[in-house]
Amino acid sequence: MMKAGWYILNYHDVSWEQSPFIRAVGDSFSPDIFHEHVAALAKKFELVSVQEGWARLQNGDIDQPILSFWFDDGYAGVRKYAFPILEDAGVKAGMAVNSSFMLRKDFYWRLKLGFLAHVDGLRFLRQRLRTMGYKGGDSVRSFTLQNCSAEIIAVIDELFVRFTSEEMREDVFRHFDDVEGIRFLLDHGWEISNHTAAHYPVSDANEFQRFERQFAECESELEKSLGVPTRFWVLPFGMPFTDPSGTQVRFEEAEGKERALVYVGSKINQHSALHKHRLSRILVPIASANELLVSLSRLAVYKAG
Amino acid sequence: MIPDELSAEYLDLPDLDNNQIVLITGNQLRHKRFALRMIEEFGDQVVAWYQVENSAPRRFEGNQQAKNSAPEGLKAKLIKTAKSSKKFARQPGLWALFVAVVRGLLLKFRWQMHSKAIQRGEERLFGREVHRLQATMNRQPSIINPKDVNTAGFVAEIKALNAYFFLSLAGPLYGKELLDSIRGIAINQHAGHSPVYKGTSTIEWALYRRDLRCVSATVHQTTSGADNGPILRRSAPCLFPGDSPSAIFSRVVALGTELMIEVVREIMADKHVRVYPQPDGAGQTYLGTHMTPHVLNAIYRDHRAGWLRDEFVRLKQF
Repeated sequence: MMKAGWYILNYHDVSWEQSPFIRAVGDSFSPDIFHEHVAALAKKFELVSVQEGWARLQNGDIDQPILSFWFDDGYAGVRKYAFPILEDAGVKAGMAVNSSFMLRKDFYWRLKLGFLAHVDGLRFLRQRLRTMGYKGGDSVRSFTLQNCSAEIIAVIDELFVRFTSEEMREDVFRHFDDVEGIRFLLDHGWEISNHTAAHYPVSDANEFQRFERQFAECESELEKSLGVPTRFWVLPFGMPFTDPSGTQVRFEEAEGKERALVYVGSKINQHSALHKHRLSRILVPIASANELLVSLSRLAVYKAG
Repeated sequence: MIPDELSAEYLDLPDLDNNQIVLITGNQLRHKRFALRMIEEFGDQVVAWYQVENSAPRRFEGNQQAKNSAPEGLKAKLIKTAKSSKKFARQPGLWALFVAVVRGLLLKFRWQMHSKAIQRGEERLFGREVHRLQATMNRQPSIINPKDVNTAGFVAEIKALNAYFFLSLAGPLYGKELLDSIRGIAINQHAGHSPVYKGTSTIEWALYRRDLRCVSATVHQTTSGADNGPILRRSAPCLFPGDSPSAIFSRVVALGTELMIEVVREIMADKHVRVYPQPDGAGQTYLGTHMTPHVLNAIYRDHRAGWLRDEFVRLKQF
């Protein structure tokens, strides 16, 4: 039995392909598995668009289980494979876009890391990271996320260039949808949201300037490309590492009543009063449809504090 | 993805307005999906779809005449089964013949189980999609015997279609005359990681070696060799931790079809095509006679032991 509330499922890519860029770091589902998820979820939840879920939450507490889909990072597979499945199910979804990937300005640094893992490039990265506090045996994946800085990004970029050709560095952007693809989703009723320019971790309250810069850059590019401002700013990596309430307070001071900040908190959004400017989403585990339903049945409702 | 470990070259294909496509496939569900996806994407540009079937009557006279098709006696079948076992040549005698026959029968049985598992997997993965496409499209293939494919008559038929693209999934090796009759380019979809794994059962060989990095689909320019033409695209499938060997194969084939669509679109837009020639001597070409029951048993044993699930966990721990 599912608790009442608005469940927002956070997916990334839906595709028959999972290249070495994505395999080590991303969570993607093949179209057949995603179809099984949607079919199973439709039996237990009322499937709603992000816009409808938000409107119902703003109008009062949610008293039945409703569910929305929200895809992050702007992968091209979402439009190709997830969109038709959701259209058949009669539901629109949300897409959180990184402007640098959409505009082919910069490639996602975590996928560069995944590729370095694939080609045995991490041994060079570990050497360089030792000068930045990395200790042998630590997870490179966690260290680069927790300590992300311009210096670390520069080292990853340098090694990525070393291990790839110019042709590959142009070709890799095919993983992400372009402006035309995102506009297609917008025109078909999807909620397009801001996921920052280049998906750096921006949720440390001590680095609020990076937060502002990254979101502002993406907002400007999305408005230029798509002609509409976004209502939701989706935190890369989903959760503030430190001082979550501090980040939220500063966000609300900066953005006022215009926007909501979207996390991955693995909680159900139920109480209207708690969600004027924030939403919690649920990262979908790599699981079968039945396993997904079981995990959703065990979730707690978002409470203040 | 592109095979970045290989060096790129460029082909300049004829810059013609004609983008007509001829398809040639086998007759399993994955082949139907291939053809129907091409028709879904390219519509009336697909001017013909040939489906290769061994039981199809011959339509053309040619170099590849049908062999005497008198029914085989039991002795002939046993000898054929024994000869297909690679150990036969090394161990003469009745006992060796008996062992070879048993091994051959075991392999046949094991392979039939594996093939049936693939069929079930295909129905689960994309049966719904194929049924939907079949319902919306009224396109049926022309059935052709594989021995007809390289005859002068078939080459003339293909030439008359004036196709720019000759796209294949399965079928025999295609001869030079047939490939030269295509105005643009012939492209083949290979379930395997060329150049490392070419030929037959290449996904099974990669799984046997627990080489997940070589569980890939390759789309390459068709040559008269097996899967050794210049590569256009190659990438890895989106797998699920609980996938069986047969499901993995089906996912590779589904991916290959999507890569083929991408390649054809790119060539339609730009005839200056980047290809990655496969070096002579790179990798291995596997024949059907290389497969043994031991290999298939090992693959399924790994699956039951949860090797793929463990491998995914290991890949993410860096």
